[in-house]
Amino acid sequence: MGRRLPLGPAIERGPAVTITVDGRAVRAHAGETVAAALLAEGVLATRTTVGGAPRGVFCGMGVCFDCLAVIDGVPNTRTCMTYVRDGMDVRLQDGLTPAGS
Amino acid sequence: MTRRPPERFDVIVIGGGLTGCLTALRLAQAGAAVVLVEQYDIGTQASGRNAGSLHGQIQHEPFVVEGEGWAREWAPCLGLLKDAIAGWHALSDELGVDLEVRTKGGLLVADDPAQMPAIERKVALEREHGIDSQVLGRDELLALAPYLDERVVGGELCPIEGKASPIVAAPAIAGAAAGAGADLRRHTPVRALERDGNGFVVTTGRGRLAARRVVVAAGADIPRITRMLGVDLPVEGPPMQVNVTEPVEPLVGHLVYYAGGRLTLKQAAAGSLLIGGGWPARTHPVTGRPAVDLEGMRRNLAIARSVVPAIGGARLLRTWCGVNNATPDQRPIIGPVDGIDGLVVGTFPFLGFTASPVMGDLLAALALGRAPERDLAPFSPGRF
Ligand SMILES: Cc1cc2nc3c(=O)[nH]c(=O)nc-3n(C[C@H](O)[C@H](O)[C@H](O)COP(=O)(O)OP(=O)(O)OC[C@H]3O[C@@H](n4cnc5c(N)ncnc54)[C@H](O)[C@@H]3O)c2cc1C
Ligand code: FES
Repeated sequence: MGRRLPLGPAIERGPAVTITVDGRAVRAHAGETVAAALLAEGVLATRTTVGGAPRGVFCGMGVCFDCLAVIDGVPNTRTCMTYVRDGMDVRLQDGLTPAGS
Repeated sequence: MTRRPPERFDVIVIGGGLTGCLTALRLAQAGAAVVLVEQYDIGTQASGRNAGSLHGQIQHEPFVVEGEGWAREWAPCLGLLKDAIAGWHALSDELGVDLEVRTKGGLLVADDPAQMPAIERKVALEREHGIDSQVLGRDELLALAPYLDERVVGGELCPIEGKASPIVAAPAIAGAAAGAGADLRRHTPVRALERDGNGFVVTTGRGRLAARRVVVAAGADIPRITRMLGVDLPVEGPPMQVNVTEPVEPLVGHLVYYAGGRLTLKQAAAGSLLIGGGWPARTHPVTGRPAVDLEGMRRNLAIARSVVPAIGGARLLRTWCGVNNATPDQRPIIGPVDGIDGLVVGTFPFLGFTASPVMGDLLAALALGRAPERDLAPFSPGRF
């Protein structure tokens, strides 16, 4: 967990929560996005394209749709626009998923 | 004060969309010294904002609205589009880039028996012009496309139709043109176009250029350029929009149209569903640029969902818009301009992405003073 800034006068952090990433428990903090929690864990690629190429956070602001993952069962969810919640289930996404899944 | 003399070329191409870039590619390959000027970046206007459908049939809405007389006059376009689709396949090979050209066929879907007679007449006319389209009954249609709604009653298959990727095509073609020796000048708007002896001088935002011949491939902006030489051409620029969903597993293999309303629907190689069909966008009151029309977007999506219900599970990512190019009779304008030796114009309305490989060949030939084999009389700039 060495990738978060040290706490200081200007940096506060929400209460600790636990999410699972591909079934593994990962500690995060309320107020962080899933993208931030994954980056802090050193997970750069959140998914692969249909051609198998890795994709992760690119714009960080909801525009590029590169940072997708399956969050609580919903595929193609933007990790940079989704706040972590205690008990949240995050799965890195592999290629395409069926419409409406 | 003496002005610097203009830089000299054999041909100046105005407009860096697919039409202009393919013209420049063919001219450079033929050994001509060619410069292309584009006011913005290459391929950012209609050529970078279209839906990537490869169209090979008479469009159903004008067939019904304008009538069969119109369609007979338009029909010479069919052979051009057929050759252009073959040209797209050849381009992927020539450039060594996968332009995502896939031609599984286009399906025009009817859900009311009253729509079938017009489809039958349209197919007959297409067949007269060398297009191998067929009328399909309900069972044949559903066997080919089980993803369609049960309500369908029949339709048309146009086997040469499909899609290619505009996102990949424009930069790949521009790169090939530059590689062949064409001088591509971005951010170089044409401000003036004048006769100079038996040639032309073009004044741009970045200096003056001279050539014996000029090709105007400026899409919707063609009239603005030709008027500089006193030539008025009825080309317009209607704003239009297209929708794209999140990428999903393969669902729709064909280019799908609907006989009861405006629709084109297909799935890109990346998995996203592209939903359009010539829906108008608004013009933004402040910027004057096209802006999304929300009501049209909703109606377009509702039609798409009624034809292919499963797409309702895919979430919309965005709707974008661009300025299309239009002519009053929907036929292209291709050819030298009467009375102005050396001036060539080219635009293919509404279906110009599809047509661009042939447009490039024709405009390059005309600019080299060669007479193309194709009969260009129906497309003459002098017909209006
Ligand atoms: C939303 C939308 C969807 C479409 N969908 C399809 C489709 O699915 N299939 C299909 O076949 N067609 C489609 N089309 C039509 C197709 O995109 C166009 O017909 C085609 O791209 C025209 O190419 P072009 O090179 O002739 O014009 P453009 O791509 O418009 O290029 C003209 C260029 O000229 C430049 N220019 C203009 N004035 C000047 C100046 N003064 N100085 C320098 N440069 C100048 C412009 O900046 C522009 O880049 C669609 C169009 C739109 C808008
Ligand atoms: S990083 Fe671009 S949408 Fe999330």
